[in-house]
Amino acid sequence: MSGLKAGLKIALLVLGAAMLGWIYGYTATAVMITLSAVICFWLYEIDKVQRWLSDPEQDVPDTSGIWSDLLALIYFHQRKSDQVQAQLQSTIEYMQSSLAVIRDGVVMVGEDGIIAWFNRSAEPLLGLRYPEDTGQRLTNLVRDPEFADYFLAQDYSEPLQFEVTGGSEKVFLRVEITHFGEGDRVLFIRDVSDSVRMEKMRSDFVANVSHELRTPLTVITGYLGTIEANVEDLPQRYRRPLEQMGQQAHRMESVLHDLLWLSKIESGQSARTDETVDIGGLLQELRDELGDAYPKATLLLELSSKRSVIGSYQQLYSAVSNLVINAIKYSGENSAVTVSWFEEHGKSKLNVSDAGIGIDAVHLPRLTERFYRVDDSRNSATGGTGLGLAIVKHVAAAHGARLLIESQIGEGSTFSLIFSSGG
Amino acid sequence: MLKKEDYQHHISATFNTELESLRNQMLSMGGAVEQQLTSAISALLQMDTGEAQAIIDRDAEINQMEMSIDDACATIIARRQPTASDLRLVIAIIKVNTDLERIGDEAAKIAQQTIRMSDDGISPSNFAEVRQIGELVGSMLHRALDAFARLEVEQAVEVVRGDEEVDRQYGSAMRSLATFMLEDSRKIGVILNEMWALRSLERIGDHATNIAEHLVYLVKGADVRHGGLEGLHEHAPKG
Repeated sequence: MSGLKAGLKIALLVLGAAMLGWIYGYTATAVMITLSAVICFWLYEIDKVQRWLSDPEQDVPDTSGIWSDLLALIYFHQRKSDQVQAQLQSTIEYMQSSLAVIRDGVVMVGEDGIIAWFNRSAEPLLGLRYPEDTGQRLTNLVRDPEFADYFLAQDYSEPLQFEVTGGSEKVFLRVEITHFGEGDRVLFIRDVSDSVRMEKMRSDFVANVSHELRTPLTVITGYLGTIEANVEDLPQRYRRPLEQMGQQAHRMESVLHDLLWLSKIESGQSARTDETVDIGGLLQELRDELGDAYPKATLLLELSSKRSVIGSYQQLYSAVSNLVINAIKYSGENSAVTVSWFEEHGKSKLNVSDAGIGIDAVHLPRLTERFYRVDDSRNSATGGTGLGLAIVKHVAAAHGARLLIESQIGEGSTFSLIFSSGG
Repeated sequence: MLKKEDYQHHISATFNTELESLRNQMLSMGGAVEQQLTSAISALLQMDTGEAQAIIDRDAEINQMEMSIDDACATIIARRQPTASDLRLVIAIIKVNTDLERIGDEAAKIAQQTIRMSDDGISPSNFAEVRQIGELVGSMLHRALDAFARLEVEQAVEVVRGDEEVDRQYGSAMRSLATFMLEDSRKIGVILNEMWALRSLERIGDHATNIAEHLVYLVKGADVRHGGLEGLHEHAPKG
């Protein structure tokens, strides 16, 4: 609109000049002089606009007509973008200041592995310095091979826990990495040395206590055995108590045995873990052994897979035998227990099924906890240690397998070990 | 003075990436060597022969890394004919590479001593010296590599200064171990094993110092290897 107005103005001006020129007989010259004057004026205005645009901080110059309209528009847009930018900046600062006070270390890394930003807590954890280290490649400053491999592999589904090299004290860090934006990553880092130490102390403690208790217990069972062998020398009223003492001492021994075995599996110190274990052969051996201990029980083997598993024979044997003995105990004297070894969706599966009393669903999540009992009254009847399923769970974890429990009250239970990769 | 941004000044973008990746490769080898050293010291202190054997096995990986970095350096020299700071970077990396590999070797030697000690019996000294010097040397190596990542001369000077402390402690450790030998001559073999481990640690300190000196050469273009600390101060003001 203002363009039309400006054009009209010029046209009027030129028309006036032409008329004036026509009166004096110099029409063309008058029109030309007028147009030149208009161009000169416009050039002068353009110069003013340009000078202002080169430094918008100074005052807006006085212009007229179309130029003042144009300037007003530019000024308006500039103010608007200034406001948006200020808002964005304050949002960024707000976000960063909130991240800055978090006690966990936070590091933002660009697509190319270059550090973009990190908070105060990240500095002591990773040995970084703000702000010099922004712009550095993260793996050049945090050089632990374990961390570098994890960071570069870009598979962050599981958090990483690693020990920091160097330094006098052992420091363990736990790192969680998340992708955001286009290839950017944010790292959350936490010092977990205390919990790692506590966990180690706990498992050391259990192992040490079990070990220390074993010696006195051996003495007790030894003497009990001797006394029981000469039980005729004793008055009748002592015989029953002695018999019970013997039973309970054996129970304690097996609890200690299982505890030690469990802490051995947990700490990963048990013998070989790269054997090729033939599950079929393992199950045959198990059946032979259990035939003596539980002559009335029937153990059916269904071996449809010939796959073997890489791991420790001893561990796998103890896990499977725990499952089978549990099944026999809870399915009544004469019922059958079925063990099947088969492949399903490319995974190897070992099922131990019984037709026993079944387990209420509320117990399932806690079933593999140490000493967890579904029903206290059943405890003495079956004589288990309460550690069997904990052992199974740890053996499964050590072999990259999953333990799945399905059960229906009154119809029986199925315990499955699912191995993700057959050997 | 050399700045990190200087590696981005080439017209050829691939040359920039080549130099940058050379540096990254060297630092990641540094990380692997650092871990070898830390594990070697802790394996010795805890007499963990399983870990010691793992360290010896991993030394082959370090050697592999050394060869691939050397190869990359040769390729860059042949194809790009680097000059000035680029040339210094390549030369410095070739030298640091050698030092890192030697540190890896010394760590493997410590691991070997660990296995030998578990056969011969434990030294009566409780390894207090190994712990102390090991910590010192570990932090020197860490700071030397940090200085390399950040191109920081001041920190490099700190590392060079740290080596004097290592030498001092090494000397006193030798004297105290000699006293143990005099007290009980049956323990001489056992103590000798510990002396070898200490000797390796002291050598690692020297290599860490070399790395720091290569950095001064890279940044300042001055060779400060045999000028002592005074020579270093000329090029690196205060510190």
